[in-house]
Parts: sequence; structure tokens; C-alpha cells
Amino acid sequence: MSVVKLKKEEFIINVIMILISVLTLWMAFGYNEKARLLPIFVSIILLIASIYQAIKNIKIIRAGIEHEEKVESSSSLKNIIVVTLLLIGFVILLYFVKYYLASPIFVFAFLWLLAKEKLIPSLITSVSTGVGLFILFDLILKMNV
Amino acid sequence: MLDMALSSLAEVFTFKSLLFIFLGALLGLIFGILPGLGGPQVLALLMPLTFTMDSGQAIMLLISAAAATTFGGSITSILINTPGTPTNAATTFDGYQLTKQGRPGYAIGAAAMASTLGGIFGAIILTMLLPFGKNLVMLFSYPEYFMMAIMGLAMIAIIDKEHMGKAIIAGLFGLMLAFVGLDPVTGIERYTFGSYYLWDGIQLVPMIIGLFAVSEAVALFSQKGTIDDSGGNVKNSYKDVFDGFKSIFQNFKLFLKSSLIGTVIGIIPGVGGSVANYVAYGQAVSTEKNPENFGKGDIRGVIAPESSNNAKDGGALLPTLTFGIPGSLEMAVLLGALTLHGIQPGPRMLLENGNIALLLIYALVIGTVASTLIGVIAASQLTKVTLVKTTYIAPLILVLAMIGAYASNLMLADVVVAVIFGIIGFFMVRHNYSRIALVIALVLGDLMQRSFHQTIDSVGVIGFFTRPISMGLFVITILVLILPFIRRKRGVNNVSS
Repeated sequence: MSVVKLKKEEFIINVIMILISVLTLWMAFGYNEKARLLPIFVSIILLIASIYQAIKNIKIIRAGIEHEEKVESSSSLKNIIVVTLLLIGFVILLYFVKYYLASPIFVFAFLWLLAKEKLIPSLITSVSTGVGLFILFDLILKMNV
Repeated sequence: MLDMALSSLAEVFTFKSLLFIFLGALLGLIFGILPGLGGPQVLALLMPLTFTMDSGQAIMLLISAAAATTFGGSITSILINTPGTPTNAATTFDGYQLTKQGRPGYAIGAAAMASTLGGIFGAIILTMLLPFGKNLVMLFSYPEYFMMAIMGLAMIAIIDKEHMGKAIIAGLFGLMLAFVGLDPVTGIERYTFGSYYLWDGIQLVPMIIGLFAVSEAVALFSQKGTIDDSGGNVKNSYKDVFDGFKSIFQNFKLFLKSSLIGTVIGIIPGVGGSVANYVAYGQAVSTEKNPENFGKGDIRGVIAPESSNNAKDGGALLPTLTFGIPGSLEMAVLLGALTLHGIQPGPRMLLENGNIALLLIYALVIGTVASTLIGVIAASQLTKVTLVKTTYIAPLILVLAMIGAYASNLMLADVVVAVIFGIIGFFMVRHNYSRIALVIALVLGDLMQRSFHQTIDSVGVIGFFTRPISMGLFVITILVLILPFIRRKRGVNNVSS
């Protein structure tokens, strides 16, 4: 991944932080004198620090267009999006069925659909996960999860 | 005191307690061996499992797991040149060289003994300081608590010197999160957006699970292949283990120096073992004879980091137990676990629950010894975990993390919080924002705001500066913040001259 692309992504995070600090600052003025003192103080510093970081990134982005270099990034954006979607599915599933049913479904979906692992090992791993969790949480720890 | 010490010891030496300590040590070892995972993750995952346990046994399980991760991490450092945890990074320099020379057992033996004795050293120092800690406690009041919180927060600035600005932003964000919920003084709702769930603030357990377990699982999945990228060339031999044990006694002065460094660094809130192992290795290179041998398979290069990173646990427990201020990330999570079991770490704990403090120390020592025993016996088998495909490890971590988050309150909202913080954690890692800073700020934010208002109401602003300890802490905080700049400037001047 290029430095510029990574810094552009970070710039978006800086903008989000600026918006969060403005929102928390604005909301803090609605509280009474005692409750708002520290939130106002911290919001202002966060706002200044985020603006500073954003300016720093803009400078790197502008300079980096001429001297673009590659950096290693441990995880791709695509992976976090797909994993998050799977996790949302897992949360919805947990709402309807018990964890020992939701967990094997999640593990199987992860292994077979996402990681493209072979069917049989995926099935064995997912079923073992459900059984293992049931033994751990329900039989050994007797937690009514 | 003696009665309490003996009754706590009796509680530790029951079959069930020892079983929990060994179980914790085993799990801690496994997490330590898995690169990317360590003390905070194993604690975050184990914490929900302790809800139905007796508080003493829960603490023994957690502290032994946390203590074991450090030695677990040294095994992969030595065998496959991959530090299991950041606290073992310096062990790779000489440990792996010894493996390449056909002496992995020698390095593992030295790491095992250094870890055990280092852990015991830290626990002894902690035990020696705790009685004074009790007296110290009586000298501390709201202004001092506030200044301690501020000092802990100031450490955020030096946690990650390379990305100091980002660590500060992460810390400020953590403080803002600490303000979510009912104000501890006025009871007014802040930043709850009409949600009853947020009345109690952001929950620490799902937040930590998301920040660490979820984001690490995504990173492991993205990595593909196996954790071990040496092509399965894991070597191990027990032939030299005993020589490794002996090497500690042959270099006992180095061991003492390194352990002392680890303990002192552990006491400073927010710095932790990832700094300790480098500092200890650095002092070994600069003070020992024949420094040219370091990096070429010198056993002293294993002894120094491994004694310091285990000794830091005892040091880190001191501010945790005495002031309720976490000395490291593990301690921040442990603090959360103690709170969940109705124990409020801090000044009153030593007076009201002194037995818990002793249990922690005993569990730390036995957990370290247990992890060493298990580690030495099972090193060759345990390292095979690193040969399992990461695509299989990632979903298992995610499932355990999600169930763990759900189990803490049986609320789906907690799972949602874990997922949200998983995404936040992913971007924090990707862009070098310190997750430790975020957690420390969230934990200390509550203490800071509470003690701030209590000081203002009881003695006024002047109270911060008229009390000697409070003023002393203020001065230390200022020094902590400006010293790196002075050193950096001096370094620049030296280079230019």
C-alpha cells in the first residue's frame, strides 16, 4: 500500500476525530457547570491535536505525491469489512439461537466462504467449536450464556 | 499480618486453586506463544469465564495467565525468531542465534530460569513495598489521587515515542469515552444519546475484547499461511536446558540488575514490559564485558530481557494495588476484573482486602513457576500451534471474543460494543495509534474526574499545590513530559557538535 493512500485514509480518521471533538464540545455546553468542565477542556485539546495531525497528514500527502513509496500494512480494508459483516451476522444469529448453534455457523461461514478452506475440515472445525464451547461454558463453567 | 499471610497461603495451596493457577499458566503460555496475542487478550477472554467463580480463584486464574504469557512469548522468540509478545522482542537477538547454533534448549533453559527468578524478584520487591504502601495510602487524599491519575495519563506521551502525537490523541479519545454515562459527581447524563445502556459508561470488558482480540484476529486472517513463517523448521532440544538454568547463577549480577530495571519500569504506570526488555538488554550491552558477543548467541542477551520482563509484573502490581492505577495494560484489564468481582483496587483495598493483595502475589509467583515447568516440558508441542493455519485460528479467536463479550452481562449490546471497538482497534493498529493509551485513559479518566471535583469541593484548587505529595507528583509529571524533549535536544546537539 502506498504512503499517500494510507495517509489519505488517516486524514479521514482525523476529520472524524475533529467532528467528534466539535460534537462533544457543543454537547458539553448543555450540561451544568460541574459536569461540563472537564469534557470541554478535553474536547478542546482533542480538537487542537486532531487538527494538528490532519495538517501534518496533508503535508505528507502533498509531498508524497512526488515521492511515493510502498509501506507494508498488516491487514487489508476488505478483510475488516468482510469480517465485520460476518460478525454482524453472528450478532443477529445470537439474538435468535444459542451460542453453541451460532458459533459453528459463524466458524463454518468464515472458513468455507471467506477463507475458502476445504469443506470437510471446515465442517469438523465448526462442529468441534460448538461442542467445545458447550462443554466449556455449559458443562464445566455452568454459565447460562 | 502473619495470620492473613498464612490463611492466604492456605487458600492458594488447595487442589482447586492450584488447578486454576496451572490452567491459567497453560492458557497464558498458549497466548504468549501466539504472536500478536498476549496478556491483555488472554485476560480479556478469561475474564467472563470468572464471573461464576469465587473472587480469590478468579484472581489466581487471571494473574497466573498474565504472568505466563511472558515466558510463552520467549519460546517463539528463541525457536522461530518471532517474539510471542512485544515484551520478548529483545530475546530474539541472541535467543534465535543460539537456536541456529543448535542450542535451543540452552536458551529456553536460561529464559525459563530468568523468567521464574525475575517473577519472584518482582514479587519480593512488591511484598517489601506493600507495607509501606499501606502507610503511604494514609498520606494520599483526593488531590494526590488526581495528580496520580494525571501522572499516569502523562505516561501516555512517552508510551510510544515514535508516534507521540497519535498516542496523545488516543489518550484524549479514551478520556472522552470515560465521560460517557452518568457524571460521578452530579449524576447528570453525558453523551448517552438517550441510551440506557450508556448510563454506566463504556464497558471495559467488551471494549478491550474488541480492541485486542477482534483486531488481532483480522490481522492474523489477513496474514494467511501459518503464524510460523520459517517453513516449519521448529527445533528444540532439552540437552542444554540444565546448562541454561545454571547460566543465570553464573551471571547473577546481570540478572539482579535486569530484574531491578524491570521492577522499576513496571512501577511507572503505562510504560510496561515492552520498554523494560529493551532497556535491560541495552544496559547489558553497555555494562557487561565483551559486548561484541551480544547478538551472536550470547546467553546474557537472553537473561537480561527475560528477567526484566517478568520482574515488571511485580512492579506493575504496586500502583495497581496501592492506588488503583494500572502499571501496564495487563494491570488495566486486571483492574477491570477485580472491579467486576466487587474489589475496588486502590487505597482502601489494602486496608479492607489485604488478603486479596497477598493472593495476587502468591499467584504471581506460583503462576510464573508453573508456566516455566509447563513450558520447559511442553515447549516442542506448544510451538506446533504456530504451525496451524491462521485462517483456522482467526475465527476461533473471534467466536471466543464475541461469546466472552456477551457472557460478561448477557447483553447483545456488549457484543455490538466489542464489534465497534474491533473496527476502531483495527484502524488504530493500521495507523499506529496506541490502544494502550486509549485503555489507560478510559480507566484513569474516571479517577481523574471524580478526584478533581472532590478536591475542588473539599479544599479548593489550592489543594493541588499546597500538599507536598500532590505538588511533588505535579513536578514529576512535568519532568516526565519535558525530559524526552530535553534529551532529544541534547542528542541533536551532540550529533551536530
